[in-house]
Amino acid sequence: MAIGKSLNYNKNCDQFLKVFLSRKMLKAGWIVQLQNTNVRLRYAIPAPYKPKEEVTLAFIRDFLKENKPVCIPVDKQVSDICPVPVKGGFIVAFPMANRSVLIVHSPKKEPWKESELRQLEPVIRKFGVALLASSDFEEQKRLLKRLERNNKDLNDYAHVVSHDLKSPLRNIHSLVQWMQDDLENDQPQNAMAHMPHIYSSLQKMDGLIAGILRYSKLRETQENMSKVNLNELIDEVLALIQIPDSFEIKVNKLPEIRADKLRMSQLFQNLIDNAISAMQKTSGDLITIGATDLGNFYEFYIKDNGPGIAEAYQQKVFQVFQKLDADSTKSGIGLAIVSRIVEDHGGQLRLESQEGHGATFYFTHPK
Amino acid sequence: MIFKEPTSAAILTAIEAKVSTDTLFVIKVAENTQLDIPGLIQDLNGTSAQYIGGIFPKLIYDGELLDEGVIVTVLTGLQQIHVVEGLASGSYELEKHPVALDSDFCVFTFVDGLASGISGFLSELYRSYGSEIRYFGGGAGSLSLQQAPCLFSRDGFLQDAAVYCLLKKTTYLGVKHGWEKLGGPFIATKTNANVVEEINWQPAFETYREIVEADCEYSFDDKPFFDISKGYPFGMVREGSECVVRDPIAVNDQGHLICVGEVPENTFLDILKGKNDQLIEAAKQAAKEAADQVNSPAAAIIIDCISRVLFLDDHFEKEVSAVNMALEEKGIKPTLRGALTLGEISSFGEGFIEFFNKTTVVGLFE
Repeated sequence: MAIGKSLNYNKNCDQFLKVFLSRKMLKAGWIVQLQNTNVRLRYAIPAPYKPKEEVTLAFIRDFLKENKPVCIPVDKQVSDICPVPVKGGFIVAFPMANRSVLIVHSPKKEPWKESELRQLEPVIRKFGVALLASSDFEEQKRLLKRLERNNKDLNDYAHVVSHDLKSPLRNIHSLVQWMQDDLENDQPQNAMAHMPHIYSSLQKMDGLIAGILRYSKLRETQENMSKVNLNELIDEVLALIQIPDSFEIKVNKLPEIRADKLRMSQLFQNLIDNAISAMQKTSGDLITIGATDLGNFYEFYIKDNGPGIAEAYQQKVFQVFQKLDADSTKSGIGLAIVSRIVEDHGGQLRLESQEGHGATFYFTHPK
Repeated sequence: MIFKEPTSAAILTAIEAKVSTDTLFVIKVAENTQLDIPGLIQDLNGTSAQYIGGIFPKLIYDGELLDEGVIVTVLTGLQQIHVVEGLASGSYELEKHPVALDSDFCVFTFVDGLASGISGFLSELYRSYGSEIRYFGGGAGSLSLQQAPCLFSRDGFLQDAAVYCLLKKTTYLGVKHGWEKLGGPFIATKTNANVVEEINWQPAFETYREIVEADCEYSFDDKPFFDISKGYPFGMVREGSECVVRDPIAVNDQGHLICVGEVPENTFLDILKGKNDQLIEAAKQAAKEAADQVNSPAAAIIIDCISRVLFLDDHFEKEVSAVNMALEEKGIKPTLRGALTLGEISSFGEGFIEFFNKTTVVGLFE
């Protein structure tokens, strides 16, 4: 069978299970992994209907201790813990490396023979080793990407300190000098006229320093992964944001996901803030938040009907401290934070926009 | 509805009379038909009709084989029509249906039968709609095996694409081919999508030739490859069921065999052989299998492989008669209509969805 032809975990599973399901006339297959006290669903075909937290097979710990394949008739109890609809027949579970288990559903009325299980066991174990290699490779890729991002952040930081922070400082220096000149020439009114510019430059510096602090405080690791009800979370976020009366925010039904709740809250707050600040503040302003189920992951979207973003600037918006306007109250860090949170959860962020026709930010989140 | 000398206006008038929100019009066009498909699409898009269509080598209507003409089948219970473009690149995502569906739903699909990536598309379809619903369909395209636009919907005239619709409709399917094992099993030790490069670590053609020439009165040196290979397809072994047939249609300079449909690496392959009577009997069994379960169907559709016609030749009409007879014996009233396709699609809760070759699929829609 097609084992280890890809270093991508899902592709590896697709290639193996497609052949396995077809040859053995099976209806479904899925892989669960024991992680500390949780059982995590890593892959399923057909796509799972139950959130992963519900895929808790009570027998998995004992089963992994026994360390041999089993064939179990499907009854209500078994059917209830399967992530896909399973009726009749048997489920067959094979232990694999990395505290993982491959489970398949056979609709046939006869149980699998011991000899059949023994024959398949080494093949499945080999597949498990290939999956372990895929997991390690994906982890290595993730770490490399993070390292690249950290290096880039360091460069951006040097740029901010050497250029962006220095620029208002230079302004203040000049303005103070002019004030001194005006005061020496006994022109206090002229000197006072420079004060708003000094405050504006100070505000800009304050914003930049606050931005650097916010960005550097983003946690690298996902320590607090839990089940998050996104509709409840967005209600909480909306209560914290000042929303102009002219705005309508439409939130469609969103799924429960496994994520770091605090960081997801930061993510939605930044995206909603970003949409609000981009809009005209006139009647008819609309922000729509929704999600699409794409099988192994969800794709979320935050769509506004504002002025949109020209193609030339669409990549720039994701960079740290990059702003599309000269508003000194903005740090240019919101979307960089969003990008980092999405990536840390294993997803991808993208923007679709046409100037004059609004903008939609999409991000994926693995199930 | 059948149009033996079709015009856009006649099709439009007939369809407009039956338009409703949950009605799907399945339009099958024989490839030699003189009909301006983009013009038909434009006309149909001026109405509220929901439709999918395909161009097929030949059509079947009430026991008759048609080289020209259009058949329109009306199916109720339409939920949604989807179009997927870029089958070969696989750069698409299918939205998963939000709730688990049962056997009273059916996905009806046409794919570009000459596109690569059909198996990948079908897996994604299965991933989206689950294992309990029924899947039914076939591959559109030209018998010349030149890829060209062959599917249509409100989204246009499409190539390298698939169209599929979810129907709330109880459907009963029968699938059989009747090809028998001649040699094997072998292992397809090196494959690349629909190209079998090595069998048992040897160039694929060498192994294939050895088995086939031992049985056949001709040599591949004397006759064009497909003239012989049409009678000796591969079978991908499935336990407890008929194998999935793969049709080798050409051999390239490297001795690799090019098939209709993908052959995953390390698949167990048999080399098969066909006998007219067995193939005809198998088609009859497929019809019986579907008819045994159904109560009162509103439509009877057959998706039969064009290469069965090429193999059975004049005997193919016997196959269609056998299917008709099997349905009549069970009191099935709707006229049997369908298409000769480049690959057949089916799954009815017995296992994973498959793309078949050289197979008969009979669908009875209640």
